[in-house]
Amino acid sequence: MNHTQGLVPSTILGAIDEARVFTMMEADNITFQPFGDEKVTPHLEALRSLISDGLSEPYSIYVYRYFLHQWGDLCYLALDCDKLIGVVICKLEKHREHGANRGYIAMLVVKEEYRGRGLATKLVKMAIDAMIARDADEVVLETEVTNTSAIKLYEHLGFLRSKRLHRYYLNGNSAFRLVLYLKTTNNVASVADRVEGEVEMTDD
Amino acid sequence: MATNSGGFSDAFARLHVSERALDGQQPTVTITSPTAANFRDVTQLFRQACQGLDVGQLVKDPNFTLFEAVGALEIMDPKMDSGLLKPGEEDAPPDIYQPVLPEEIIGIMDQLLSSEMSWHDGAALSQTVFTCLYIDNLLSPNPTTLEEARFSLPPSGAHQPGSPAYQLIHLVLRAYCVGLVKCCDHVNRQILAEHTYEEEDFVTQTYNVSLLEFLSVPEVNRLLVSAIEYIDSPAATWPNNIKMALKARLAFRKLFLTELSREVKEMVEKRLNWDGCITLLSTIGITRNLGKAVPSVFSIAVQRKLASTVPPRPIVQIPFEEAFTIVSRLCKDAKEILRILKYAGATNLITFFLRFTARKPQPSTYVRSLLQTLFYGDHKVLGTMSIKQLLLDDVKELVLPADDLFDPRNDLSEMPSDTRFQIRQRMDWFVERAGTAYITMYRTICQNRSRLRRNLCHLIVDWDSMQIECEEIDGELQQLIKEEPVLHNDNISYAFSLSSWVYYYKLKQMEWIIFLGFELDVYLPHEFAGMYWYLQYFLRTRLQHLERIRHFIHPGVAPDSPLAATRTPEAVASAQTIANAQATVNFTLLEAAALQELCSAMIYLYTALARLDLVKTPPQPYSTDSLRYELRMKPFLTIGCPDVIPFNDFKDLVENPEIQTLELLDLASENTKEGRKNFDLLSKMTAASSHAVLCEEGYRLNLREYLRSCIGAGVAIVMLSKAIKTDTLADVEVEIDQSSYHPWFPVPRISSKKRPPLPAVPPTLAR
Amino acid sequence: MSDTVNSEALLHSFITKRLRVTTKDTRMFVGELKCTDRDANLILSRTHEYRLPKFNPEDVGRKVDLTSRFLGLVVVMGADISRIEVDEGSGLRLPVADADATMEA
Repeated sequence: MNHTQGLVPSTILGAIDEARVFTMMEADNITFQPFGDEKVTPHLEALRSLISDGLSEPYSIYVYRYFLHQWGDLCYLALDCDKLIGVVICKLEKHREHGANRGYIAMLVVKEEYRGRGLATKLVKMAIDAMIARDADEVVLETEVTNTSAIKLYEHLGFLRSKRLHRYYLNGNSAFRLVLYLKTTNNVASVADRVEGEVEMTDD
Repeated sequence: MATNSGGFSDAFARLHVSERALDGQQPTVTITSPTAANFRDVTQLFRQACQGLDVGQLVKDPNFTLFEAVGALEIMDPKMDSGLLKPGEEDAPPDIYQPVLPEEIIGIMDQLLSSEMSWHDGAALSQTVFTCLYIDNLLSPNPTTLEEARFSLPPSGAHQPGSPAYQLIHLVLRAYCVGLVKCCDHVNRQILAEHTYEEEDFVTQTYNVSLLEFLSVPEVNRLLVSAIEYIDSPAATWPNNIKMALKARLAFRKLFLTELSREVKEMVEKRLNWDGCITLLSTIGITRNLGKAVPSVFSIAVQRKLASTVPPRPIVQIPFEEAFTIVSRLCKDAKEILRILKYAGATNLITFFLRFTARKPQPSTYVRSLLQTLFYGDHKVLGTMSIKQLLLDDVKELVLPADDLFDPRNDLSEMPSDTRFQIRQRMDWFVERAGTAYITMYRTICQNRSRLRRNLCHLIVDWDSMQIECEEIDGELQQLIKEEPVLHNDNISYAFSLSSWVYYYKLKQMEWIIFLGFELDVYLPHEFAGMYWYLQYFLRTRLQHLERIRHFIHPGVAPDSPLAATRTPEAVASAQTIANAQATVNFTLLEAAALQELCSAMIYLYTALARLDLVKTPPQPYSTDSLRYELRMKPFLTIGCPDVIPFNDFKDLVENPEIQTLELLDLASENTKEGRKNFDLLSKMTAASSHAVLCEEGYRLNLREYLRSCIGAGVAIVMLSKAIKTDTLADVEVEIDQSSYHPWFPVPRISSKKRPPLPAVPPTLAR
Repeated sequence: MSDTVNSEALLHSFITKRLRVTTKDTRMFVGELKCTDRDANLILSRTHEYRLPKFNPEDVGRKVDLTSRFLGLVVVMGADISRIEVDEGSGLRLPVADADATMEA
């Protein structure tokens, strides 16, 4: 039983041209910063309510702690002055013992009235850049098959749908697994590693 | 421990799996009654200590990880706490409305059917059947006898014991509810007996509530009969149409339960009566309007009582019409799968599995589970055959190896030095090795489509290594039987029958993986050309392989073979058997050729669309074409043969940079014509020669869909060529149509921005 | 030793102990403490929920059964907690095999 099996990195409208995004952000006083540490960045409560309003799946406070305690530097916040208006939460770890160094985008939310300005794309890019800096081999996530705006956002960054997950979410909706390879595997050994990861195809 | 720990997909995969393994089990925790414990109030102490911690600092059991914490339910959060009362809500079971009118009982029965079918359709019992207050009342506290499985309702003046109003509830409705719960019990047993995915396909979780497992079917049926008898008695003074409606529902329950509780043996002996269920269902449909719904007897409040490690979920009760469709289809499908008992060879059997499970909407989880049981319940194929028999039938139908491999005399030999003994050893190895994989393939086909694709990615790895292992065995066998080599493509070679057979199925499964990618909407239009290129590549490989198989059917052996003298005459393949194998290969060649033509047409067509910028590739700043190619080829990277080709070669082969766009479209047009010709030829063949005797309609429907895609692609090609020639490309719009054509061949619909789009090719055109 | 260290040590002594946590809506949750933080947001494992039946004047002075059910792993937020009790272990434990164990109030 998995009430949290489907995290929904979702509900945002994406991809607007870059130039416009940054002008608007400047005009709006929108800033971006990593979450870092609960002590330093006391936004946990605001973050919880932002995500709770934005996503359908329920998460307890410890779901956030799971991500933020270990990967606070892979979580980025969008703020309008001091107000939290968007967040991306990620993790990065070895997939299986000898598997790829796999980044995972767990949650992505932008407050409704700020959507359509490319904030989500900006947040995701910051997260991916941080993962690249930490030597990630690939980045994965799931999103509802009906969430076309989220799917489009990721596909416009280079993600591909790798598989469909039947009735993945609590509400009975199916998901796509989206995958972005960041590195090639040119030698045989690393190809074998990748395929090792493939075993996951039936049991995740 | 049955916690509700969550799985964030991959990352949580292991947890997810171990949880699934525990599903259905009741928490085996021994709890201690709190009175027996010695509780000390530490509220102040605890809170003060907490305040000494830093923000974000945790004190935890070192063996407990935050990863596990992810699955915890948060109490007092309305999204996660099923026990939370809404403001002003009372914590008492809602009073049950006790109907007086038989119309209301009919209404409740039909609402229950809707709940039951919502469960069949994937919702949990906690959202469906268990939300009915009558079911809740019947099952709590957990009854242990039929006597205890009754309603305890507050007395009321209108419901004096013995009165028709009393009997309506305490006999008629009770019998129906007991029957329905018992049906759920048998459905759950069936689902748990076979391979399905909990939550994803079906929720078997019962939250510690009894599904009356202890009752026997005859006991329940007697109760249903006594309710029917009461309705027929003079004591029941209702109009005849009402009586008919009530009786049909009770009788359906009785028959439905009987069918759901059949043993494999009974199924094999065809002692089934799904037709009876279907007939009674039609009466239920006709009398549907006599019922009066009573929504108040369903309540989400029941979830507060259920032992549940998952968050509360809303009531799901599909409309009656939808439930009626689901239950009718269930009965028809359950009847239809009995066709496999008319065994007509392995190829026919596999065609049935493929066509039946590809149907849209897909047959229910219950029926697909039942199909697995019927196929291989009690460790017998179709109740009567061994795996060996089915496997060797398939091998013989396709490659027809030398007779000496199957001679029954081999089984009699006890001498390890004897050639026959050595042949048998190798054939036994093959049956063991390939048998399991072969049975698994059938069962995998029964999974939901997403799982089918994912599981096939696994299976091909096994089939690939099996192919190599079988080549070795083939080599040994050809020496043992003194196989005569044959000239093939300027080389002297041997049949390699067993590994040829393995290779054939491996290639088919590789094709399915990509075809299902189209069906499941995994590929983006700008990837279509490349994916069709790979399909065409696999199909071309399979065609060449089939040519080789045809060449080596029933290989000859040297006249001085030591086995010649002792060969069992009946073991020698008849001219008819050889002709049949040849016909099978010829049919398969035609089918593969038709698909290959259509795939080729699609490569050219989608490449042309990309060149004309009518199918666009998104910007993709974070990856490269070659990285994405690697990701797409991931399932095939370890497969020995056929090879994944280098990216640059692939790019050239797909894009054909040296060919003009109009020329590309001409080539595509040629391919659609060839494809169409082949599909037409296939349509003219009999069900027997198409190996579709068990599922002729489904098979022909599938052919028609291929044909429609062929014709649709042809139309797109003509329109595109015309737009190029008339220089009107600027007006052209393209929309990919996934739904009007074969799910494996979505067709671009070309329209003018100035004119309304043409409709999809109507089904009649594709006859 | 600083306060933090003392607090930590004290809280650690509660870890893996059975707690009975009463929430502001009068429900009780009995489970094993796995984790806490500054706000006393508790994680309890193998938790059973106990709830008082509806008040009934006839029950006054009588012992009534609490209804209970198994919930597994739960988080109870400090802000929702009205009482925390620890099981000191009387040695009088009566194992009850199913989740429908009752208790007297």
